[in-house]
Amino acid sequence: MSDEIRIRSRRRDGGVDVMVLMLHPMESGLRKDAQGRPVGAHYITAATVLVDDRMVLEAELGITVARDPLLQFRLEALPTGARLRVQWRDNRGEQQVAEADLA
Amino acid sequence: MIDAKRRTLLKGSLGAGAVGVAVGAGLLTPRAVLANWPEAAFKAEDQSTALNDLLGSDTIEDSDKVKIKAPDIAENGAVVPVTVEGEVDGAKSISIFAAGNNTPLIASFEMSENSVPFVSTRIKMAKTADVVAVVQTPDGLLGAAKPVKVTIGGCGG
Repeated sequence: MSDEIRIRSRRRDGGVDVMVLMLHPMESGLRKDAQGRPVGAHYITAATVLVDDRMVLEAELGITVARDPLLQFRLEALPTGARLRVQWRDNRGEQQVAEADLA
Repeated sequence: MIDAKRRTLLKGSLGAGAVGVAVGAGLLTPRAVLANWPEAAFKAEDQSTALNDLLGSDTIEDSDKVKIKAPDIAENGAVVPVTVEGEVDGAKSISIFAAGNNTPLIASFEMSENSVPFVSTRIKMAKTADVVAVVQTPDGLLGAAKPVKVTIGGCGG
């Protein structure tokens, strides 16, 4: 759905490891560009992870999460092929959604 | 209080009811969840205020059940990998702080019945300081700290 969110999952003992990479500048609003002009704040504030429309993880992020946020987390042994849905929203109201099948 | 409200929202989205249908229909976001950003906690300039805003308490019990994996030395403060694991039952959330940052709260993760209290991400650190992890449990807040030496700070320039 979007190449700005990459999702990988892998079975492990008794569960599933999930890795989500969200391409985003995560500008703090404190930085200046090469010309010395302030760069406006632009950062993801929330990311949610649903499996088959059930919320499994809700992340709240601030300006001090590194550029291109990487989230890795663990789920219990949910069924293979369950629909994993990740969405984020940033401080400018932009949002992205991506889906993948659970490993 | 804040937390109770947030839990309700989470619970509300667990049923395959109206919210589930709307989410399935496309870009319609569960706005109630995503719009819930705890601004005061993220803008707080000390950890205690951030904790009170976020979790309703700043009383943390040091616990070896909270494990932090982070480098001893981070050459680039703009990208510091941090992994937190809470070896406890019923963990409700994991929050990560960098004590030396102007705004210490970095991120907070709310668990569900299907998630295991284990999260990993990459953070920005302004200077050498403790990375602090706080795991919210039914019995209170458990915490641990791990010092990270930062060679080049990663927040301003």
